Amino acid sequence: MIIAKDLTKKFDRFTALNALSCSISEGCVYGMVGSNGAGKSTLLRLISGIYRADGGKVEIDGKDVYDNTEIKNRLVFVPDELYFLPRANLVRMAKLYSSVYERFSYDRFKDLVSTFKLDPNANIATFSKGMKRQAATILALSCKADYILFDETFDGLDPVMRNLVKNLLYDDVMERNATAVITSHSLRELEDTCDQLALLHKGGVIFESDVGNLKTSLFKVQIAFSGEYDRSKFAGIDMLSFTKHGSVSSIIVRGEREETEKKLRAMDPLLFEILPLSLEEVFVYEMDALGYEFSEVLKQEVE
Amino acid sequence: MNKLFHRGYFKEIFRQLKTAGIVGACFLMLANVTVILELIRHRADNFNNYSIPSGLSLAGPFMAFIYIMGVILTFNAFGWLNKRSTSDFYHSIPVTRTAIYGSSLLAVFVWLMIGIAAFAAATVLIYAAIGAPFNYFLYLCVLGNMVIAALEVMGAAAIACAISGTRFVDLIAAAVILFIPRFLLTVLGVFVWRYGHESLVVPTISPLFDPTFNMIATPYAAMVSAFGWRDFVNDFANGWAMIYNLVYSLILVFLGGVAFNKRKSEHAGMATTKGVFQHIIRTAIGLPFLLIMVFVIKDDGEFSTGCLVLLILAFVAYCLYELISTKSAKRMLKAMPLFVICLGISVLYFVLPELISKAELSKRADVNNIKGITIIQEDYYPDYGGIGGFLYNSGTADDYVTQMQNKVVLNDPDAIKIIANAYGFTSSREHTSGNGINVKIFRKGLGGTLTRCLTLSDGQYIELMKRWNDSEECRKIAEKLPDGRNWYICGSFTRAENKELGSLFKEEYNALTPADKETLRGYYIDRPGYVHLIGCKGADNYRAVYRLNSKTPKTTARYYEILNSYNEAEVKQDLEDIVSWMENWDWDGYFSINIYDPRAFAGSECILSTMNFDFKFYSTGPSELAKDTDPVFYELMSSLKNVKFNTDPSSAYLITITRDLYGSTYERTETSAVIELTGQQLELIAKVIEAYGNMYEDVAYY
Repeated sequence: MIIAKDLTKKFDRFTALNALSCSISEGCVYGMVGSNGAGKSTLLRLISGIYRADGGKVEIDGKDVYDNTEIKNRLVFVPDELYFLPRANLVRMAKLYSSVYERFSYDRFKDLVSTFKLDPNANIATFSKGMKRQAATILALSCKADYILFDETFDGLDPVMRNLVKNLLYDDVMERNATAVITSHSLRELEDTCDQLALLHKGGVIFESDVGNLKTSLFKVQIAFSGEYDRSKFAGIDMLSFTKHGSVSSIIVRGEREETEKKLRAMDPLLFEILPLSLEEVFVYEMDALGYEFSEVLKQEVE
Repeated sequence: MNKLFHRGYFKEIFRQLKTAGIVGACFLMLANVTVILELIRHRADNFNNYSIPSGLSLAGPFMAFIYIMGVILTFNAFGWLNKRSTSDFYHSIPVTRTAIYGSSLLAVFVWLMIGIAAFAAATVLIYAAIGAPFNYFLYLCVLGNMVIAALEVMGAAAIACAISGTRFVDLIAAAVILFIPRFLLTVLGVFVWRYGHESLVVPTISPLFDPTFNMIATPYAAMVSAFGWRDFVNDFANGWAMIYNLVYSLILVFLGGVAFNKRKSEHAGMATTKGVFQHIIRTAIGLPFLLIMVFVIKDDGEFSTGCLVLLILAFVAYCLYELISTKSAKRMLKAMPLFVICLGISVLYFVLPELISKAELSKRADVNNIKGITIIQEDYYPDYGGIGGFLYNSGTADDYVTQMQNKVVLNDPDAIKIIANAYGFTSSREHTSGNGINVKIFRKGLGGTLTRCLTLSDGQYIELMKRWNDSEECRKIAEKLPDGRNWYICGSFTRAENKELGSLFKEEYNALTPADKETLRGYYIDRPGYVHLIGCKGADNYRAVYRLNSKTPKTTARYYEILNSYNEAEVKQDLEDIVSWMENWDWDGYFSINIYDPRAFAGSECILSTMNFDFKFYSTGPSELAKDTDPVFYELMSSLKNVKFNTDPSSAYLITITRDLYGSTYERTETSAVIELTGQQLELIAKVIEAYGNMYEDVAYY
């Protein structure tokens, strides 16, 4: 389990993380989303022991990560900016990884190389951006780490490869109870990948939740009645948003779907429809409720 | 162990450094082979220069390569610190920072050791194969110094990498760490030497002023004869200097580790990890200009335009570094006022030399606290004391007697009294004139030693030298043939012939009386008729030169025999050519002739030297033939053309003909043989000298 408590990291005068706290349980896929400069990469670098925190602490299974080889042997970090030795091929890189990662498995490496259909003897420098990302993924997954940290995981990957990487991650999570922490500035990327999602903004987690719960506990209702009515008609229902155009209203409701449906149908509406929300819409409404402007928090996404 | 060293990581970095390591080792080995072969060829060509190679000739230039190789390898091993992506990668791997540092440095060190081993193997194999004289102990010291140099460079480069975040600053910081601290000390030493009291022998004031202790400077100081203090050729064997340098290097390596551990991954790409480092580097860059300025001001006694230029240069260098390293004009402007610290340090150099000089002069040495003295003689300075004939005149570098006598401590009360008087006299005056002499004074109790250049009156000097030369220790040294590993070399003969001559000489010399032994003491290394004994004692190489004459008849006769067997025909041909050139307008080179009388007193053997009138050989035109314009000389040459060769020590003369030929390449040949001179020929020589004079002062006029 990864626990970050009051984590603060500063670069000169810029505060990248400001007393951030979060916990990531074992065997889950944890997604972090946020605009550029939100602190995602910094948090990952603190979790992987690259940076030392200026305040607070980050622990994995109760142990400090910084300069702790025991913990670091159980985690692997794939950064946004990838590193390969000059003129190296995959085999040479595997040699480098195997010399420092105790759990590095050449069998897994060979399997993954054939799965991704990359030439292990080709110079990585000649690879495309997506192929380089695949190479980094192969190397990271060959380390058989308990904690896999991916920064901008799907950057440069085509849809087929994205799915392949996702499936491989799921396999590791399912089979080895590994924990994956992945970041993206795109909410859509993480929507169908993560069990848990955190939204980072200005160095703090402003929202963290289980993805399944999020999607089922927040839904959109379109409803119409014959006579005049207003918001007060729905007293007793937890509404995040209410809009009315003529006799038709759109309501964003938080709560148990079946129970809410029962209550609303009992009002004898002319029109009644429950519509699913995309994760993005869920975030928009949840954050609106928290007082944040979604377009401000996820600038990239909106742009 | 895993915290300090990681085997896997070591292997990885070792692999990464493979190309640079192999190229460096190959270069060291091949360049060394070339240098050694050239050294051996050069010495074989001219037996007078045949000597055991000094530490400097064996390693000096290669030390520079070790420094370069050390910096390149260390920068390669830690190059990842300068880029965010690589820095993050290496900081994320499961290896502790200490282990990363230790394993990387060890990989660098192993490659440097491979280079040094290749260098050493090449040297030892060649010398062993050829059988040329070689001092293995000194070579071990040389190798030890190379290893220490490797450590020192690694340590400095590692600190540079740890405190900076760009390759540019890495380079500057490494240079600053390597050179500046001891450069400042050396400059202070030079200032004390130049502006302090004339009696002070600066390197002996403190090891920190002794260039021997500055490994980076020593080989090069020797090459350019810097400081004028003394010869540093064999200073590779200074044990204390080696210990000092080793400790210094280990401190650098340790500090590198501390800085590396404290370094943050996010410093990649930044100039330095801390503002104070940036300031130190800036200051160090400006200082050399300012110290030259101080030097000029002290020398000229005024602040000239040149000083202003130097001041501006210091300021520009100071600012330029800040601008280039931080790429920020704002930071440069912010750093400008701190230039005052640079100025403050340079002001210290005005004051410190005088303070050090005064502190040294305040040390007491009088009759009551002097335990003993050693008179330090120097090679190449025969008339050192101002009154010739008292100090032993070696005339050669690494002279055995000089080396050995420099270790003698004289306890004679009269000698001590003379030195005590001279000490008080010299120390109390700004400038003195008289007979300067270097003396090491041993003080009683915990007083330690003082080395001074003292000024003596003629009377004091003569008395002191008598005491010195008559002392039993000095006499014994002068009389005894050198011991230790040695080789006898009498000429460009075969090894067996030289060996045979050596054992004959040894036998005859040991049977002589002390007075006779003294007459054989050699002065000149570039003349025929001498036995050269080259050898080594510990790390010291030495050379002893002895005359061959009728005191050692067997050796002399055999030497003459061998010499003539090689050179008779050539000398005859040369003499015929000279006569031909005088008779015709046809010449293509230059000759000079020296004739020696081996029976003459030491220093007056040369009875004819044509060096200053060799133009007499040559006809200046078809109608101005030398035989007509210089009939006296022509008569002598015509007579010598038919000279008889003689190997009888009681009547033979030695002749050396030097021939310079200017063809497509310049070539000089020097041939010697033993001849017989008739009474008429000796008379002709006297006539020639009377007509033209003679270049050598020691020529005996007949």
